[in-house]
Amino acid sequence: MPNVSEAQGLQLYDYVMMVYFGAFVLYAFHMFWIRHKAMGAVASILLWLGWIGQTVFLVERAIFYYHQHQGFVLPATNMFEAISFFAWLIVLLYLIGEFVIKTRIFGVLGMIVPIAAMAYTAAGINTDPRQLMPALKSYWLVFHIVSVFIGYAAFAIAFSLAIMYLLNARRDHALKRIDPRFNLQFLDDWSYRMVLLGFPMLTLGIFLGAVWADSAWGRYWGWDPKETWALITWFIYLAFIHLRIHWRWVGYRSALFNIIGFASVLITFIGVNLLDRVFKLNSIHAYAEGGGTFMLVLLGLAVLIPTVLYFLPTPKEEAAPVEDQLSEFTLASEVAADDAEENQA
Amino acid sequence: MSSKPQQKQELPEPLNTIWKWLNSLPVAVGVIIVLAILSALGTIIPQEHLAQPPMGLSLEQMYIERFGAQKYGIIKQLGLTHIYFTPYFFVLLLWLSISAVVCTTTRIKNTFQAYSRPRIKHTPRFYGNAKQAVVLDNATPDATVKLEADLKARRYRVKTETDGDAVNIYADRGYVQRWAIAAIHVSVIILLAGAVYGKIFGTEGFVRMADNSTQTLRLDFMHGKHRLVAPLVSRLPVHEYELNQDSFRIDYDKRIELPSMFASVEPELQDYYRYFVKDYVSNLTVSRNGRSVSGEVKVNHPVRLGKLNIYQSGYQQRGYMLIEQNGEETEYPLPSGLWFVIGPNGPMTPEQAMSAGVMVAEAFFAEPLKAGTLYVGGEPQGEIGPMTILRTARMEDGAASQGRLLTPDDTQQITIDGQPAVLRLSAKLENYSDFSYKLDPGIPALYFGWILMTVAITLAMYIPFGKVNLRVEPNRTFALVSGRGIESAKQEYTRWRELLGK
Repeated sequence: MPNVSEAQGLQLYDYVMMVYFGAFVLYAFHMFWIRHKAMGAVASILLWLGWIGQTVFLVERAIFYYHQHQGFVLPATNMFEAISFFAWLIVLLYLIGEFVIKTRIFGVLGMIVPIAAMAYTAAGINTDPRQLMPALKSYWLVFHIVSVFIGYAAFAIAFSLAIMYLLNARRDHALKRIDPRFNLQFLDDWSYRMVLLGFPMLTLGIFLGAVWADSAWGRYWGWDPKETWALITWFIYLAFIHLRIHWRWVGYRSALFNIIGFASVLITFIGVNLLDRVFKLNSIHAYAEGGGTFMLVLLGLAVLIPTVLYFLPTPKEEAAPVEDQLSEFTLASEVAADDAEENQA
Repeated sequence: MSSKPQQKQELPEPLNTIWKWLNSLPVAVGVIIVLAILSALGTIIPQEHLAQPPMGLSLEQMYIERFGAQKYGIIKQLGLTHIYFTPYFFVLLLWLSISAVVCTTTRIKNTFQAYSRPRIKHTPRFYGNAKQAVVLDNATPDATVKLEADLKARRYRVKTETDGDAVNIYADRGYVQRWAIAAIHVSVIILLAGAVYGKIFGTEGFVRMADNSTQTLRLDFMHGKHRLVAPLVSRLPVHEYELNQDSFRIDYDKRIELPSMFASVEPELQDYYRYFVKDYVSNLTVSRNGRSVSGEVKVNHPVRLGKLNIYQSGYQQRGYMLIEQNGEETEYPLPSGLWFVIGPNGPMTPEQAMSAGVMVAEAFFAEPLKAGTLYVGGEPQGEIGPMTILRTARMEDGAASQGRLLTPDDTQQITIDGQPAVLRLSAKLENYSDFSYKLDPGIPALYFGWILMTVAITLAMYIPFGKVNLRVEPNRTFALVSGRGIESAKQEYTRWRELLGK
């Protein structure tokens, strides 16, 4: 019988965490000392290595499950695996983003959520592979979890960009000085695009979950806290999209909404168990159990920091007026004014 | 959801105000936020439909213990213990639905109008009012032809209209996106309609069946229905189904690894903890009016006859223990997963024993019974059990023993009221299969709505819609590109400037 931690690849998991952290530090160097181009490249290579390591970890777990259950099981069946899979997806999305946008400036931000998530798993939650209850042995598990998690990962990146937006606006566009392409409009635009990626995936994920619940339990919707919070998250992003399209809630407001939305994602994903403990027991025991305080602090900060940032005196928003952006053309409004003058004359 | 009501003729008050509010985006967003907050409240306060009160407590007692009688009174009055089923939650959902219907109607009308009869003719003043509009110089006489050809080549839908010596051009591309946005709103309505229809004309329930038993299932459509909808369903024909449980089995699997929380358990007990339920499978025959269907029902694999779905929702495995005293053997049900003591009349809870004044020296705890077919690596490996782990504790000090594996071959010496006795696990076993059933005629609409919504959201977000208004005058061309952001407009203007400059 193999050693427990070896069989579960936990040692590999620890290495992956360290490699991710190393990449994070190097990305920070790369961002603050822009001349260190090489530093960024090394960070990327490290991140790719870490990601491949985590892929191996996930494959190992899947093989383990295959031996146990004689079928494919997505290694996201308990909190530990789910968080690990979530971090894996964000890193993948970030790496694709890095390749597409061709910059490593966002490395630090891209890594905040995966590192926080993995640190949470290190704070003593159960890492045992799970015995699958019959309801989880379903192909819907894969489709449901993957689509929901792609949604969550996209929201996580949108959240990171929103934080960047707020900080950057406060810090007098520090990032723009590093690379002029990264103005506030870019951050705002990309965080919105990430929401546009996440929202259909969340919708699809909720739908797949409903179909699955219907086939397993005979109900597609049961107002279970997890379902309810998924709906709340959906409502928040729904409101966000409507406000953005119809009332042009861009910039600060958009960033704030993104942060509220992501706080709701966190509650849906991790916090539901926590809410249950905190509000059922009303005792210090709820906090003593693995990682509860950590999550509460994280959630608190996720709401508090942006709120404080939002209500601090606001510097002028950057977006240039349309007229300036079209300066090389003759504007119709000028011509119309001239025409009107001529007519009067 | 447009913030501008499209109604030309005013309705009498207060209908007009209500109509305006139904058509208003701020109100809709407000309702969405209130719904979100109420839903969140429901995840903080335990809800009646999910609450599992601790043993021996009623639902009400549980609430009182948590909140105190006074607070609980207020919470209950406000309906906070069943938020999702309160009238105000329903009213908010209804409001959102009607608002969605109103907005969707308006939206479809506008979308259709803008598609079939877009406004083509615009004066220079219109362009003057648009921030993003520009004026280009015409160096070529065939500007109209060139612009039209350019737009058509790039798959724009082009419409023109002459106005004196000027030509107005309207063109759009990616109109699918507009239809998709309308479809999203339609899907919300379909979804809600499906859910409501299913709730009104459907029913659901629960059946427990022993092995090799038959039961008649009579669907009660009136159960749990509000008095307003009851008349709608009272005339539904009687649905009677015959259920035949041919066989029921519980399959066990053996964990490759012992979970870390059991690592310190004695080696001879470890096997017990490595067995876990892999599946529970019923062979069920369902018949009604001469039609019948039979098959394996297990979790994730319901059986279906007509519109009725039957799901494997759980199982119960009951074991028995035999107690021999003075040469007499008596059989009692084994209280699995509970502490119990043996009194003169069999097992009872320690509290019952205490209040009945029964003299007891020891209490027992039986882990859940395990018995069934064992699979290892997907292959059946014979039968296991019945087996349990029995712990004993002295009533005086309460410290529990390590526990021992108990099978029908083992015996445990006990005392009943000071007299020695022998406890054994009986080989007798009763398995019960739990089914939930559901008849929900709203499901097809619901799924259709959901699929439509997902597809439409994706289309709406990823197909860019672009609109072009041009007014070609002899010497100059007014141009307005809208819908796809300033960068895209700039690109088009640059392109046409070159085109017209030649």
